[in-house]
Amino acid sequence: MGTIRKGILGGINGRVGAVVGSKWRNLSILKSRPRRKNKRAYKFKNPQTLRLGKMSNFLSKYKDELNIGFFQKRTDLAPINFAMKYNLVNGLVDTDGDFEIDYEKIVFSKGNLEPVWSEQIFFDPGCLIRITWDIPQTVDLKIIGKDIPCVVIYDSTLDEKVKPGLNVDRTAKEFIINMDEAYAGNTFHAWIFFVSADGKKVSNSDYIGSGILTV
Amino acid sequence: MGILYNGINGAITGKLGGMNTYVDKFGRQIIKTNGKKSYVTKAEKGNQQGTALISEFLNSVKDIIKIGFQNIPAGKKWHYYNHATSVNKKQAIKSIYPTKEIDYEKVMFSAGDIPVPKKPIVTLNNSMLEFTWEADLDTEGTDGRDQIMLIAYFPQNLKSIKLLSGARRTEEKERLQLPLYTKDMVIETYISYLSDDRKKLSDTIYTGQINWNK
Repeated sequence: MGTIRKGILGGINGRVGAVVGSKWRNLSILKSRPRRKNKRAYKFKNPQTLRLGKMSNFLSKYKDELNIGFFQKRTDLAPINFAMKYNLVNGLVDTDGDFEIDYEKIVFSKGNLEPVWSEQIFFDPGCLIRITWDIPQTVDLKIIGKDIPCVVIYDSTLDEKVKPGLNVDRTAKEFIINMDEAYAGNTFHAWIFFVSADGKKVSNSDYIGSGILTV
Repeated sequence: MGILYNGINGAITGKLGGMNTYVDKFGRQIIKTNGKKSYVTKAEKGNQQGTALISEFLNSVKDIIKIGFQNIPAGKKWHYYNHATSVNKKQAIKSIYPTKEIDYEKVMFSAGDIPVPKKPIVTLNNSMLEFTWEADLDTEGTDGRDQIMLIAYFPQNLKSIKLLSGARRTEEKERLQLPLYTKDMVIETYISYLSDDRKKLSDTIYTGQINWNK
């Protein structure tokens, strides 16, 4: 896609068909597309491809949640792209040339709704995941009491997403997920954020914690 | 943003898309395409870091500063957010460019003419922040019906608990219940006054840092 930077007065930036528009020594130029390379991209030489792969592999699982969490951040970026942009900078940790996802810093939503307070995760016997939160006394429950929690769960052992069905509001202060026994022994990570009842406002997401599911 | 100072018959100044327009000293209307900056100086980078720090902080307390900075200085075409940025960016940043950080002792959540709370003290008792102060009714500008405004700010996760309409000035004490304790936290506490008609405020006073480690 080529974008025209300055309207009818400006040069083209980007690729249209076999033509590439760019800027060179203050001139707007058009070039033909370069020949395809046959060289293999080496991992250690090009960390950007590795970073991008890691993060998009992780975040693409949560498209539904990101569509809620980042739904109105930018008009020119899709929610998943905005989330990629933010998390690529903040959510990766460099481990000697390789990259790992820093679960504590991954963000699924950004907004000004009342945040989540005192969130905790418990792995109860019977394959139960119990997530609790608190409501400070100073907030107005008439306004935020009907907020819906959005819980994001990731199974890091199987590299899978768990999608819990949500039927509680903020005043419940607790949410229990019944897991299948087949998942026992796996490590789970969880995040939470709130969505207002009309779906127009979101809070910042918080990392709750991680743990191992017990039978 | 291009501004038409004298309506459609007047000159345009400002940036519009890729164009920059202004009136030069001979009164000519000039239109140029935008130039490109070749480098950013250290001072500019420092300014950018300051703006980033302050906007991250103010964004997390928007509902407080909306009330605290409601009285815009006369002659300024400002929003409450501009007022808050103007006050805090000047005074609440310490250190120099690569290591700039917010100076929580000098942060202001409100600004106004009411005299600031006298001898404020805060203590933590079983997840309850207890604030005390002196009524100080003799000073000019004070009113017995002024209400106290309490703020507990958690800098580690940018959250805040606030009581925007607390006890009257004459009661000399108020409490702020914290949520359930889960992990060690640093809490910055602040206190200020709000008048009975909710239009006048005092400056914010920093009441100290509390380590919440039950």
